[in-house]
Amino acid sequence: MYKSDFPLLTNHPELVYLDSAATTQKPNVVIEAIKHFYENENANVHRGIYKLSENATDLYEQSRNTIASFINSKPENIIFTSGVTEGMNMIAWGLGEEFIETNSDDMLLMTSMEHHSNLVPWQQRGIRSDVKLGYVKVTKDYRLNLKHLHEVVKAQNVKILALTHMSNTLGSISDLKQIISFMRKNSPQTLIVVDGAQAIAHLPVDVVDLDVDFYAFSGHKIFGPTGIGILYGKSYLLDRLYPIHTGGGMIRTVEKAESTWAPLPDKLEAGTPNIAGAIGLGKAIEYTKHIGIQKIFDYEQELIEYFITKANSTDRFNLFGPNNTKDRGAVFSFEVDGIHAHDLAQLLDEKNIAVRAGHHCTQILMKEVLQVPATVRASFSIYNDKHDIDMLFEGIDYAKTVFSS
Amino acid sequence: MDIYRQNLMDNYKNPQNFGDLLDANAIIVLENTNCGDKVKIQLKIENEVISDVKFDGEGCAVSIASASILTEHIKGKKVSEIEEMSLEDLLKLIGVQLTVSRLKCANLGLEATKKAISEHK
Repeated sequence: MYKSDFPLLTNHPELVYLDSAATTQKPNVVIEAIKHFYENENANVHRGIYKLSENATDLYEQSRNTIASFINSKPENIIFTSGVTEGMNMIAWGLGEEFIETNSDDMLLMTSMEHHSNLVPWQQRGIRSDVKLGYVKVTKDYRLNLKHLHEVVKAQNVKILALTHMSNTLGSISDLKQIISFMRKNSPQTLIVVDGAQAIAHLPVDVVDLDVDFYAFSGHKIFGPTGIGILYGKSYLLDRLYPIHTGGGMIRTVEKAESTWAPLPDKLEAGTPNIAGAIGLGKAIEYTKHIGIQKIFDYEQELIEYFITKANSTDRFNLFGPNNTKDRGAVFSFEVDGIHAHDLAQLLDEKNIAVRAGHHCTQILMKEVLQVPATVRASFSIYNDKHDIDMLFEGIDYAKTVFSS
Repeated sequence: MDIYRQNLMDNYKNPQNFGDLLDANAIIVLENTNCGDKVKIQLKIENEVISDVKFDGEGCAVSIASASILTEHIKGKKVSEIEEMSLEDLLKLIGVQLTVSRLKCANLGLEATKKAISEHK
């Protein structure tokens, strides 16, 4: 639909790019904004007294404003990070004893469908702090098991609930509003930490309406450059978060024995930030807003419906994820009987169809729920169309003939 | 079609030396966690010679076929020869062009074999 906005796709007209859950392609406006910045506006931010630096600071802060309004946040609640992984580590290691008490019965609760980026930091913090780890189960129809969540919440002192808005492997979208309102009532001490990496480019996100405590996403999954991401946090939490990165740019005063921190958001952005990345991400969000996130969601629903119809009429095709359009995104993990995921991905590549094969950084899910070592994953974005889905299924037919010869 | 040349597919569908070697004296199971490929190499080493070998495992066509071709090659050879065998040598035996991302799959059996030899010593 928007293919012509993306230079890589016009430079490779034969390519069927089905790996947007790993990273999206970049529209021309983003590439140009970064180039324009380096050619015309480059200077460090928050430091120089000269016009060029002041202008760079303006652009950097404008990006923050653009991103903030996209998820209905205030700018000071938006921290530039390098991506979800960094954001989650900032929280997991920055929350003090008042939130996670060492050697106590506190539980850090994750889900079995978490991406490693919202799992390993909590697991490691849990080990270090000697507290309990828990995992909310996934149902047979690939949804978060809310009954299990209720049981765990009743039985445990859950301090953190770390969950994904949309699974990068299954495509399942969790009803955050319902889950969070349940948690507020039944487990008021729990901080809700959401991994929005997959959701952000595909459905509207309103952090105030959701009443989420932290929400993290990566820029490169929403048409922005790599190496830039966002951590949203409620003010009182960001205020109390210990900055795990200390040094330049984030201090108010430095004495020999101690330092004091700059106000938010600077406190949590140590060192020279990824200025061009932030500006590129701002442009990417503007681009997304311009199309309209609801329109993107509706368009992708059409693709999902088409994909599932095709999948259901394809022999030996096993889909790992909700088999309907409801509460799911255009991310499809599957296997084809008799063909290992890597072989299938390679044969699809011969037909210029780019898919991911492997464990998708969700090893717990693979072992516990899917019980396969690897799947193929096809994921879609606004530049894909039904023809791409036809090509994929033709490619699968081709792989079947290779393996039956 | 390049990497799925007949030799490779034949070795995948009918792997040689597949199964259990009951009198093995060097056994290593190696996994490629990224792909989920798994191979178990079982060697019988006598007088510095690999007198028998079998492998077991699950994985993609490249990993299974490579292990099959490898085991055919090393049977009856001196341990020292196999220790010096490189991935390039193995690729020559397989005789097909592999892309970078598949080299790990091809190498799994060889890596396991070398590990089994070094642990046997």
